[in-house]
Amino acid sequence: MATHNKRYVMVIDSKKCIDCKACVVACRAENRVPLRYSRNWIAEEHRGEWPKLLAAFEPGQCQQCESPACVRVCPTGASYQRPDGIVAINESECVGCRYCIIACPYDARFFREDKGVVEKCDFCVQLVDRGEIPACVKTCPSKVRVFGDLNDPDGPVRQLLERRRHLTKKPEAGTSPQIYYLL
Amino acid sequence: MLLQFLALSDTAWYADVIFPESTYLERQDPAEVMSGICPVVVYRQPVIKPLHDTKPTLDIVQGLAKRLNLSQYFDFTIEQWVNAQLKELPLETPVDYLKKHGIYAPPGFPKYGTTLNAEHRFVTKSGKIELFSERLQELGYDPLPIYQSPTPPPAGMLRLILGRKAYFTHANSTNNPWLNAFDSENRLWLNPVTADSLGVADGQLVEATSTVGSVRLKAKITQEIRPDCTFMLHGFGKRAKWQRLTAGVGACDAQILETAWDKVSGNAALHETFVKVRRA
Repeated sequence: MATHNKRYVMVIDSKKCIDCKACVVACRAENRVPLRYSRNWIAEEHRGEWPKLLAAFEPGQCQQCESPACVRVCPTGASYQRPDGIVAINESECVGCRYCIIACPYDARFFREDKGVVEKCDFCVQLVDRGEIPACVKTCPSKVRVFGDLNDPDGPVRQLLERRRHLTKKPEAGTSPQIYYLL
Repeated sequence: MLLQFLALSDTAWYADVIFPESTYLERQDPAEVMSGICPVVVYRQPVIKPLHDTKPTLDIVQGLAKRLNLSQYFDFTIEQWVNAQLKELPLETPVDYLKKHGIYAPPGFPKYGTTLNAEHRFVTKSGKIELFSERLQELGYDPLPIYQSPTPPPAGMLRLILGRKAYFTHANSTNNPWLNAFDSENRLWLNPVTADSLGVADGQLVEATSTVGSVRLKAKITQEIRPDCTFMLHGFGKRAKWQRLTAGVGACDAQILETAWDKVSGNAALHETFVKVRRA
């Protein structure tokens, strides 16, 4: 049920992250991801010497690239991009060659030994197609994540990106990532 | 000792009889009142059927009452109980309302500066907010809050700090496999300066001893603790073998925590224990 003029993206305000990992747990529950894998994560940074210390947390996941390297290298078309921008995987087409895992600049994909297929964050398409938001966004207690349509000029995503400075991760990889991190 | 419990905790481990209670997601509870400036009545209904052979509190109490020939005192259903609780609410059909909305809040949200009338007095001696409390003075306490620096730890000892991680609920959820995967063993935090003086390397087994007990766990050397303090995460080193992921893994802070409380408020003072740490 893809709609043509939509472009789903996520804006992440890492400064609000308290490392509670509710997003990781919610994703695991919603997408039935076994314990040894994870579609999302919280990267930690610890610096300094006592008493001058810094700790920072940053949620990471598939960056839902505009020109996804994973889709380009997929020999079967299992990895594909929907018209609304979401990069998803058609499990029944995946042969487990894992080219996409190597191609992804963000290390966001993993191989499910039990199913023989590659998996990653797909913005919870099953929820998005019902008009809901991804599980990680819904559960976040400190509202780190904002999900929405980049092409909606009045939507929360555009409002935030017009007001706040932001960056994307590894833009030099040339895949035009669509997770925006607020500064 | 009798116990009703959701999880087979360390408290359950010490019980003689355990009544397995359904979780709050599986049972109809009496309505709950949350008091305060904006009081609300909360409806507590099950969202799933019990996963295991468990019962709600009222069923457990009624079963016990029957055995003790006291059934007449518990001769009602949970629905009747909730109806009786809610019947005074200024609503036509309070139960239906709460089933639909989940909570009832009295109309008119209090606004700062508008709720107190001229006659209002606080329950203090002066009837006002007291910075200087004559009552505290009469009882022999400082009438004005006076800052007292914490006693520094005696030579060769460290102050034990208690704390939690955002993904664990107190000491209760460390055995949940999804959460345990984030942190599966607690360690004793030591500043590198402290660790050096003790000759302890990261990951090495250490022993922390207070006046009430002694525990053994691995050391974690980190800049994120003061050199005169140490820390260990709550909820590990459990006794209950049923807590498969945390029984005997790491150590339990309660084993070395000394009893202390704030003399004015009576609150538990959890950071007052000094421990001696050495290589185990």
